[in-house]
Parts: sequence; C-alpha cells; structure tokens
Amino acid sequence: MGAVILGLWSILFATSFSAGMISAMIEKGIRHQHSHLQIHHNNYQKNKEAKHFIEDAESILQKSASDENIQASAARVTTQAMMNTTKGVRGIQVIGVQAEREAQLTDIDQFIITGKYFDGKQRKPILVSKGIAEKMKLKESTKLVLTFQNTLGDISTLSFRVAGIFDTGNAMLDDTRVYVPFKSLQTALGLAEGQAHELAFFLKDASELERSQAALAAIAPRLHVQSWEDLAPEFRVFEEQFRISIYVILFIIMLALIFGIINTMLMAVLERIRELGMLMAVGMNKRKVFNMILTETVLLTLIGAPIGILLAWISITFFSENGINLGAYAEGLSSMGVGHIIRPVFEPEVFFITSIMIIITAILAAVYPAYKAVKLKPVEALRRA
Amino acid sequence: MSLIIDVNNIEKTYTETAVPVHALRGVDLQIEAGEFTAIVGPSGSGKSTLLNIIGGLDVPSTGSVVVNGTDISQLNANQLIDFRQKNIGFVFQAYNLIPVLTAKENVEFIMLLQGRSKSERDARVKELLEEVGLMDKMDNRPTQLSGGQQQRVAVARALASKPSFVLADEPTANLDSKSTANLLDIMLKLNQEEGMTFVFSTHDQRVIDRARRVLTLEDGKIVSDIKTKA
Ligand SMILES: Nc1ncnc2c1ncn2[C@@H]1O[C@H](COP(=O)(O)OP(=O)(O)OP(=O)(O)O)[C@@H](O)[C@H]1O
Ligand SMILES: [Mg+2]
Repeated sequence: MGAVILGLWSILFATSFSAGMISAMIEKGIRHQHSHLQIHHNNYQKNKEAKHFIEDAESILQKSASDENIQASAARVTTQAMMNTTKGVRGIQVIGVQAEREAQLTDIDQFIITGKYFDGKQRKPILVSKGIAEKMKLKESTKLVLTFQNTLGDISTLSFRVAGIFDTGNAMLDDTRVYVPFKSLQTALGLAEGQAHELAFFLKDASELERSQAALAAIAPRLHVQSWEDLAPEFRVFEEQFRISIYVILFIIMLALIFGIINTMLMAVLERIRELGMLMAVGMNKRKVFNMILTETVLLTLIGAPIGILLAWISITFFSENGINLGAYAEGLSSMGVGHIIRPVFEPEVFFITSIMIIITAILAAVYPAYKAVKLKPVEALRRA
Repeated sequence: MSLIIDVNNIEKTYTETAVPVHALRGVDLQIEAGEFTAIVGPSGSGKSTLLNIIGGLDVPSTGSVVVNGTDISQLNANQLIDFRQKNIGFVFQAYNLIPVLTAKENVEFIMLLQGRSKSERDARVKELLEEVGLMDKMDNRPTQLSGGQQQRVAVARALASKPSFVLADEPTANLDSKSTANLLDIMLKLNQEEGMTFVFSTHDQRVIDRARRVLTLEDGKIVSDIKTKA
C-alpha cells in the first residue's frame, strides 16, 4: 500500500512539476521573446535580408488596434551587422525597437541591469547584453560602430554609445543581439516612414489565438502571419521530450510498483500458507482462493490509490500557489529560459491516465502471488510450521 | 451399517526424496458409518499418509479409495475439492483456525462456501458451539481461546458442513490431559448422539483407550485391527 501511495504521488508530482517547468518556459518565451503572433514579409523567414520589409507596417499596426484581444504590439526593423569596438569585431543582429511599444510588449526595459533604457534624450543609444559587455569590455557610454548593408545594397556605418546593459536571463539569445532606436536604424537601412521588418503582437487571451491570427491575416493579406508555435518549434520539441520522459518515469515507477506489490503479496501468501492449506483442504476451490488474493490486493490498492492521488493533489496545489524555489539551480535554468520559481501544473488528463494505469498495474501484479497461492498443495501447506 | 470408506490395497511411495520412501505398503481398510476409530502406530508408520489419502488430500501410488461410493482417485483436482467440501470434515493437529475470524465466523465460513442461507448458518453455528460448550466464546478470536477451546471450535467447524465423517490427524497432540479428555467427551457425544463417524490418529494411550476400534500401523502395513466395544 505504501508503494502504491508513493508511486502514485511521485509520478503525479513529477509530471506536474515538469509540466510546470515547460509551461513556465513557454510562457516566458511568449512574454519576453516571441509574443503570440508576428508578421513578416513573405520571404523574410527564408532570407533575413533588409530588403524583405513590410511596406505598410505602421498602418497594419493601426488597423490591428481594432482587435480587442491585442494587448500590446510593436514594429521592429532588423539587420545583421558587424560590431566594431576597441576590443575587436563580431557579427550581431541589430534590432531597431520602438521604445514605448517594445517596453509594453516584451518588458525589455525591465531587464536593464546597468544604465538606462531608451528615454529619447540619449544621443545614439544602444543596448548590449551582459555577456557581450563582458566579452567586449563595454561599459556605459563606451563607443562602438555597426557596419551593415542597407536595402539598396550599400554599406552603411553607424556609431553608437552604450546606454544600457540588459540581461533577460536567457544568455544564449541575449548575446546574439543588440537594441537600437527604431528610427535611426529605419533611416540608416533606407526604409521609409511606416516601413518595418517585423510586427509582433501580444494577446490578452491566448485561447483566442486562432481568431486573432485570422483577423491579422485579413488585414495583411500578402504577408506572413505566424503564431508562436510556428516561430518557436523548439517548444514543441521540449513538449515532446517532456512527454517521452514522463513515459520513461511512468514505466520505471510501474516496474518498481509491480515488484513492490508482488513482494508484499507473496509475503502475505507465505505468512498464511497454513491458513490457505486449511482453506483448500476443507474445500475452498482454486478459483475462490485466486479471487480472494486478487481481491485483497485490489482492496489494498484501492485504499492506497486515493491517498496517493490526494497527496499529489495537495502538494501540487500547494506548490502551484507558492512555487518551488530552485534558487540553487537558477543558473542552469535561466540558460534554458526558465525562471527559478517553478509552479507545478495540475494536468487532469495525466492524473486520470496515471491513476488508471497504476491501478491496472497493481491488479496485474497481484496475479502472480494469487497464482502461487493456487499452486500450493494442501498437505504440504499444512505441514509448514 | 453402511460402508463409507473402502480402501483397497493401497501403496504410497514418496519419490521426490533422494531415496524413495514406502510410506504405505498394501493397506486394506473398511470403515462403516458410526465408527469411532483410532489409527495408532509408531512415528513414521504412515498414519498421516493414510489419513491424507482417505481425505483426498493426497493420492495413493496404487490401489483405490472409495468414499461414499465414489472412487476418489478418479476425480480431478477441482472435483476433489468439491468432494471434500461436501463429504469430509477435517480436524488438524495445529487447529488451523483463521486468526482474524471469531469462533462463530470460523465455524460459519464453510457453510458460506457451501452457499447456505443466513438463518441456516446461524442455527447450525449455535447448535454446534453449544455442543462443544463454547456458546460464551462465540465472539472470541482464536488468540483469545485456549488450545483445547480452539480444537473444540475446529471440531465444530468440521461438523458444520454436515460431512459423512470426520478425519482428525493427532487432534489431541497439542492438548493437555484435561483438554484431551474434554475433547474426547465431545467427540464421543457427537458420535453417539448424532451418529457422526470419526477416524483419528493418535499416540496417546488415554485416547486409544476410549476408541471403539483401534487399527495399528507398522511400517506402512496394518498389523492389528481390534474392535474393543460393540
Ligand atoms: N511428503 C513426503 N515426502 C517424502 N516422504 C514423506 C513425505 N511425507 C511423509 N513421508 C515419509 O513417509 C513415512 C510415513 O510418514 P507419516 O507422516 O505418514 O507418518 P506418521 O505415522 O504420521 O508419523 P508421525 O507419528 O510422526 O506423525 C515417513 O517415513 C515419512 O518420513
Ligand atoms: Mg503424522
């Protein structure tokens, strides 16, 4: 019974915990990186060149405002550039962001650890990541130069001063990009007013995603409207891996459970070997003996299962309210894009399936001891002391 | 009197052992309804083996055992269990009551296996516990009873299924002399008043003295068969 309780609890808790981790990762990814929906030029994803821009970006943004479900949106211009500092050169993605809108959309202003976010007063400001700042010895107001191709194919050079250093917790991504004000990059790339490379939208209600996506597609018929699921296929992979690991854990626990139950019930059979011998001698038939042992096991499981499920439910509910602080492992987690507070997610479907599986397992495991009991010969069983 | 047990020239050889053991070497035995028969003999002479074969718990190597007209060596395992349930009452040396059940329930459960009605079970349990003098211990569990009391419950249990005879392998071996005398009183009373047939093995001279027929086994053979009282 203890095995049943522990088995059920651990599998249910482990599942909810990993589900919590995955959903935290996805939520974070949507909130701070991908947003729910993005619009690009049809060729942009294939070939991220400056010339694949959206002609009427600003007007699409204006029109999209009529969808109640859109909470925040912003336009971006972007290009690949060489970054020159006194310490050297490196390739980087330059993103031109609309200061107000971007802050609303991705909270990028919340992640500035040194210096300031764009305030409109700085001269030629640029935001660099903590990692790049360290590697290239950049400090607040250090000068650097970006070299890139504009939409006409000409080489442009722009100089900047570091206004702030950011750290979103996702170092892998942070270190591939720098942020500059929208206008300066738009102009430097040779784009006109109202043009941009990327539009991003954050929704109030994610369950309405498909409807909002369709609405955007109607506003921007010749453009590529994608949801976060298309933009971040790695989330799907994570979810897939999560499912696989759940099955592996499930399998291992089931196995442990089977042996636990077999062991317990074999002991129970051995302890009562004389009693069973007597029962068979006085005329309890094999079917009845078999059913008796099976019934006992099922009862044992049926008592254990609700306790295990209840315990799992209690601990999941508790931790989903309070979170599990994994401060000690925060570094590893943040590189995966997960915060250090994990809230397990209660998944009714997993609960249901696991509970059923465990109960079936328990019944299957009872068959062997019951079979052993039936195989006893009454005379021999009675002779045992 | 009618013949209820008819043992014809049985032999029993245990072959699972390194050296085959000839536990019974040609036993012929007839027991009629109403007998009160003791099987005696030195240790290892084959008493338990004989009782087990008569009770359908073990099978002879050769020979036949006919109980109430049925050749039990012809029955399959399930039929044999069924046959035991309907025809034979068992009393064991170690009582073998179910520890979690009360005296009443220990007597009752055989009738449950037989599918008897509640009222029938209640009436029979009362009757039997009265006969073995344990009405006041009805709700006690085996651990709350003395060895003698437990064995009396076991006798009541053996009779509960209304068998045609009771087999008891050394029923008094674990009892003191007072309990032994008491159990024998009860068995004799049941034999005389209800006509119940008893076949039991024993080493105890005081038990042998009260039997009405004494069969002596030696080295797997019956060496004497004495009917003491009419
Ligand atoms: N399952 C068995 N396997 C092998 N030999 C056995 C088995 N059961 C009994 N024997 C042997 O058969 C012989 C007769 O045994 P049995 O138990 O019938 O004697 P018994 O007269 O009941 O003796 P006791 O008075 O000690 O109970 C003995 O030699 C015993 O060792
Ligand atoms: Mg014996």
